[in-house]
Amino acid sequence: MTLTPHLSVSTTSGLGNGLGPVCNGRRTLLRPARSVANHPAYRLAILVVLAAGCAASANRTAPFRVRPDAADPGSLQGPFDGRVVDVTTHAPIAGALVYGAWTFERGTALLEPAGSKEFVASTDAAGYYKVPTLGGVPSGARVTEFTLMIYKRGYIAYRSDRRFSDLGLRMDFAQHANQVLLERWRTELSHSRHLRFVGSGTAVALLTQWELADASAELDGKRPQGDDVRPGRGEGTYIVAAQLLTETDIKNRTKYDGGFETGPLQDEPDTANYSSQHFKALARPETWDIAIRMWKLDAGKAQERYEELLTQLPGIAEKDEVGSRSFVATEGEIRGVGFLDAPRGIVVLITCGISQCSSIDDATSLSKTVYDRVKTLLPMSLGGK
Amino acid sequence: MKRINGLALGAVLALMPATAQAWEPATTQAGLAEQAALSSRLHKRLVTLGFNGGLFEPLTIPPADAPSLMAALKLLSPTHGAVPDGRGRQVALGWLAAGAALADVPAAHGANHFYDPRTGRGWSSPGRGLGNTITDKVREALGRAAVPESGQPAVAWVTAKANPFNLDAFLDQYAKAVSAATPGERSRHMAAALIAAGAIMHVLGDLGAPSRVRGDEAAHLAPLGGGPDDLGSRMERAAALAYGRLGVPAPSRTITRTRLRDFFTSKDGGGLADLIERSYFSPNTLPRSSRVSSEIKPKLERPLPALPSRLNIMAANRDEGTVLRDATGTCLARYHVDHDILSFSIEDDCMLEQLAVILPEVAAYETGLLDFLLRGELSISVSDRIVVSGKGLGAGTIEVLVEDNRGIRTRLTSAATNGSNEPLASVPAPSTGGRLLAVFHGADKAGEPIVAVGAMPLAH
Repeated sequence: MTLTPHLSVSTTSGLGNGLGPVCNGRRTLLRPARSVANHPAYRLAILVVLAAGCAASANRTAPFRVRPDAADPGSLQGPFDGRVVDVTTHAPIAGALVYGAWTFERGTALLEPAGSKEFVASTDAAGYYKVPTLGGVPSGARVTEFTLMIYKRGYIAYRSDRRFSDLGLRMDFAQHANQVLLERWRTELSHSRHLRFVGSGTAVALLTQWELADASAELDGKRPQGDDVRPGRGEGTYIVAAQLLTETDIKNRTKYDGGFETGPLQDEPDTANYSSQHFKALARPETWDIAIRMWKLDAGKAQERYEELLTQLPGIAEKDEVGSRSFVATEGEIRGVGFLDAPRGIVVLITCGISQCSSIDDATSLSKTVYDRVKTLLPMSLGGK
Repeated sequence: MKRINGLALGAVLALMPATAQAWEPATTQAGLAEQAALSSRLHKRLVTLGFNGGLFEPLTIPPADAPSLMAALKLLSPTHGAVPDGRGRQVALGWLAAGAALADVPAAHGANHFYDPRTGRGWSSPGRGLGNTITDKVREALGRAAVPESGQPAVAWVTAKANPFNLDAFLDQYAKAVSAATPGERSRHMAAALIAAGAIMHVLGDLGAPSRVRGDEAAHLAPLGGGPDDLGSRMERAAALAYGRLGVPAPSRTITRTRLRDFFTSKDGGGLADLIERSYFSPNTLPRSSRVSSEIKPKLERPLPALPSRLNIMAANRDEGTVLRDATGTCLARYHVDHDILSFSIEDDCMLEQLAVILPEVAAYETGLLDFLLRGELSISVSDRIVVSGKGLGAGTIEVLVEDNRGIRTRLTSAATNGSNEPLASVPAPSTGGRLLAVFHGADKAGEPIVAVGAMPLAH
């Protein structure tokens, strides 16, 4: 006789997951007695027993905790909640895609996929997300997985089951009070790996299609050439635009009483030489928005960048009120202030809607705040350049 | 660091109820297919044929053209990377992964993913005892999961007519992905070819699970924790938990074979099924328990893996027993003496060690298989005539096509060839067009079905 192998794993937590009667089959390997099994009365009796006790679908045990500080497993059914912040600045990230998917499976011994249910939303102004409890499960199926994916352009996506860095198991996901730390995208990272990482489906495909060409080029052996332009890889101290201007700075100046979604601008990703932050006014027109763009270059290139802005922007007037040189600009409902900090090689452009910045003085004042912060973050004695 | 990862994984596995063996379709199988694709010639081949994004070229199967396929794809979770958008569009890599996942739909098809090289048998439903047999019948009556009685051997299933994703389906769609007139048609055919390729790779990959090649169907009846129907193989579940789709390791190398069957099994023992069958135990084919005092060596269910001439009985008497390892140091089983009885088991840490060795090898076989499916290449030269040649081909038909600047392909010639003609085709060069293509559909010199393709830009 073959002995059933001893297995060391607990069998208590998953047999029905505590949701209903446990009707686990015995593992005795005997040949079936078909005559009894086919007897109508017997079949009816067992049918009644099974329908009463075992017909309901069940869940597998969740491979994540109910809370970050708890030992108990969470529930695959949900609900889920947490907060998304920038790993460097710890600023909340608003407007990030929140994509949750439950996976169903059916079958005995030979298992097959049985569908999925998606939940699509975005983080609120303070970076919070909520995913409601799973409503229902297809007949005869069971819930085998829940995966949460957070995506915001300019950042590395987050998955609740895997880390991007090494594709290893993520062990810190929690059902409630989960903290998602998003890292800024770096140019040396692989788009083909990232596209595999984010998965598929309509919502995700729409947001990530811009990565397709880069992913394909990577497989052709074509990588971005030239200087190392990754954020944090340039010379000197690494700073990002989000450090230079905060929601509080804006509200103190403009007396705005609403909220903002924040995150990098969608025009180009952050690099070692460029960083942006968009303050998108919640439930208000674009004229309430503010954006800051910052270039950190060597002195000569910073001068060139500043000169380019002078030639590119409409309605320019040089004022030299901030930093080494500065200008103001106006186009339609947008006001702009730019300045050059020549010794540090910093160029900053702030654009502000006319509802938020009722006069150009508001934008100039915010620029001065930014310049003060640049000086604090990059003191010349530390070799700001 | 390794220790920490091991502990973390142990914690996950501790949440998992009981035992498993083979690969889950949407996670491990999809991951294996992706890894194989990334290491294969598929990207370059797609680019050559005009799918410029290669593995990341969006391909579309309009949902109205394939409603049953779309219904099956809706069974998959988008987080596994194989679900097209609402218009039936996803990248080539996604379609391949979709095929790898769909090979188990319906579940009864999974019964054709077993092959015991010692007996030549496929799946045969293990008896489950009187009570469970009755339970199964009731489940069946309720329209719920039922365990198939038998299945075709995997090596036969990949060419079986009953298999919708068989070799012929791949070759037919692959040829049409080159010869169809419009870009839309070619996109649809290439997506379909990739689904079939992914499914064929899945069938091969399943033979990396010891229970599937050692006649151990009972290993697929372990409770997995999702209710009374949720029975399966513990190794499969462990692989899915430990590696998911994304963490599946890259191939250790690329296996090359000259016949499709040889990837599965061969007389020289070089098939994946042969390798795994002789290298690993499965839960119900472990050495039998024996009484230590009788000094009789434990009886083996199969000749291999063999036991060492001396077991470490002293170590086996400790509470945790000791580990039986192969020549490379990989755990094969744990053995333990209790009340004079020596018994063997495959515990989770042992299973994880095996997976770390087995999965790169499975990926290597799948990479080789994908390259085998795409092995046919034609060369085209142009002067005043277009000359097409190819090596190692047998009888078949050759088509030469020209693509205009709108992407429309028109046939210049189509002819039968016995393979010994050299060149395979020669036609006058067209006066217009942007690209020349050739496709051969027939057999290679070894008699194996093949589609060979070639393309080159046409300069005027």
